[in-house]
Amino acid sequence: MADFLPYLIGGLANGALYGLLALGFVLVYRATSVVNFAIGEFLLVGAYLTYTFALFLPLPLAILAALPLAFLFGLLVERGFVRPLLGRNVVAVIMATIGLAAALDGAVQLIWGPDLKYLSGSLPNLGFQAGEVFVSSRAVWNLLLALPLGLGLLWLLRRSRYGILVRAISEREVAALALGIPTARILAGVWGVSALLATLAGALLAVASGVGHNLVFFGLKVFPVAILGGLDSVGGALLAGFLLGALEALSQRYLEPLLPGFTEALPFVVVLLVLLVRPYGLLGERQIERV
Amino acid sequence: MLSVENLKVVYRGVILALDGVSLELGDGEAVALLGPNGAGKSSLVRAVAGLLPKFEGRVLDGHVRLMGQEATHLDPVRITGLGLTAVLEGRPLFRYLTPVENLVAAGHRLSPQELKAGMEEVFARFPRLYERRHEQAGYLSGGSSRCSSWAWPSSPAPRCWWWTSPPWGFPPSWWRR
Ligand SMILES: Nc1ncnc2c1ncn2[C@@H]1O[C@H](COP(=O)(O)OP(=O)(O)O)[C@@H](O)[C@H]1O
Ligand SMILES: Nc1ncnc2c1ncn2[C@@H]1O[C@H](COP(=O)(O)OP(=O)(O)O)[C@@H](O)[C@H]1O
Ligand SMILES: [Mg+2]
Ligand SMILES: [Mg+2]
Repeated sequence: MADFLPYLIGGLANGALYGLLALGFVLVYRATSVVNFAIGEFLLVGAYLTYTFALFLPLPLAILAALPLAFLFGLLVERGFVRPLLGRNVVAVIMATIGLAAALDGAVQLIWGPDLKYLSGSLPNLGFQAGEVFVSSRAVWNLLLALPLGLGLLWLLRRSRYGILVRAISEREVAALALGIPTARILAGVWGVSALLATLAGALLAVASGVGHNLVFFGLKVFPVAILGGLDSVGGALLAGFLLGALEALSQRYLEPLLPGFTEALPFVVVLLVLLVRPYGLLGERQIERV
Repeated sequence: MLSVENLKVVYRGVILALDGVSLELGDGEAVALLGPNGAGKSSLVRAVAGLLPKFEGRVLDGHVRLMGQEATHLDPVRITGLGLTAVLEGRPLFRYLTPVENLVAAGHRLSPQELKAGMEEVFARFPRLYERRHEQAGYLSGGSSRCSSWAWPSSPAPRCWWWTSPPWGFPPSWWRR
């Protein structure tokens, strides 16, 4: 059992990034009903932006500089790809995001090349020893950035005027328009926030393990996480991120020796179970029906 | 205040829903449009409120003037800014928002003070709504939710109300008000 805590902490550190990524993904899904298959590429672009800024800035500043640019990138994607297609067939929009993903993959390879890169510089070391357990600097940074940001966004969505408008639009866009709510601007902002969150996750991943195309596979985890949390639940996404991160790490430690390769499949096994037992996810809402 | 002149509306480029509709509405007037299902009442509302693009429709010809200003192809944000509020048919509220949040959404142009004052006024008028102000509106009775949809101006001084279907669902107590 001596391994339990270190693995759990490592898992939660990963889960914090799953949570951030899934939060943005679900926010976009709720507000615009678009399943963004390019979310992994958002993360990739964010990581490379951070890498580029880190070439001439200290790493913390590089991350700070990448975030507003990522927001802008989100706005551009919304303007160029999503808005022209909104209201069309759902499949058309999904295909567009798949096409966008492929285009971004190509563009990233063209600009930055195919080989794995490492960030220059590092974040201040915050690792510490707590009794028997060593808490790594990576874990501290991930939790320190992801938790307040995630919870803060949830709070904004619940309580702020902007959050109420986002929720109004996501329920019934025409009604929001009829009230004169500037839906286009607000939805673009949601895409911007989603790209920003993905970029922060990408940057933190890059700090730990370098920047390469394989980051996209990390992005794919967003689907099981979002389904586990409930596709329409932003809070569920954050929670499910931590949960899946922890489960993966523990499976790596305790199940992997018995069932080699199982951890790879774990997220999808969890999703299968969730879909069977709670189709609307851990925190997803049931529809209000009035007959 | 509102004038519609020879308005033509098509959906998807081929379905002609309105063919030369004209209408004048002065200050303090109330006008009811009557017609069978499919006559085009809703289409006229959508056209005036600038919502046709959301229904794959557009104004082909004719003019809408609001408060003396040309408003034919304006977007809904500008139109509500001029003081027109369209109350759409079907469910009148955001069901997953509470009454308080519904009022915040509807009063999004107001300053915090105006919003607070307006909210107090609405709740003073509809005490039943006040009791349930933090419950999701989807669980309110039809009468209560219709009251609140009516209760709120979306702009500081709405001068023109426009219902797509009459508020028959109001409880008797409302008509006395
Ligand atoms: N799919 C459903 N989900 C939730 N409640 C339902 C559903 N179908 C019917 N109900 C509820 O069950 C009750 C009986 O409805 P129903 O059998 O359709 O009545 P009737 O056929 O006599 O109109 C109603 O209160 C209705 O709201
Ligand atoms: N979104 C739409 N797409 C295509 N045709 C529509 C649409 N909405 C309404 N129509 C058509 O426009 C005509 C007028 O409909 P509508 O304005 O809804 O009438 P009313 O509100 O008087 O019942 C009808 O023939 C209807 O079929
Ligand atoms: Mg029946
Ligand atoms: Mg109608």
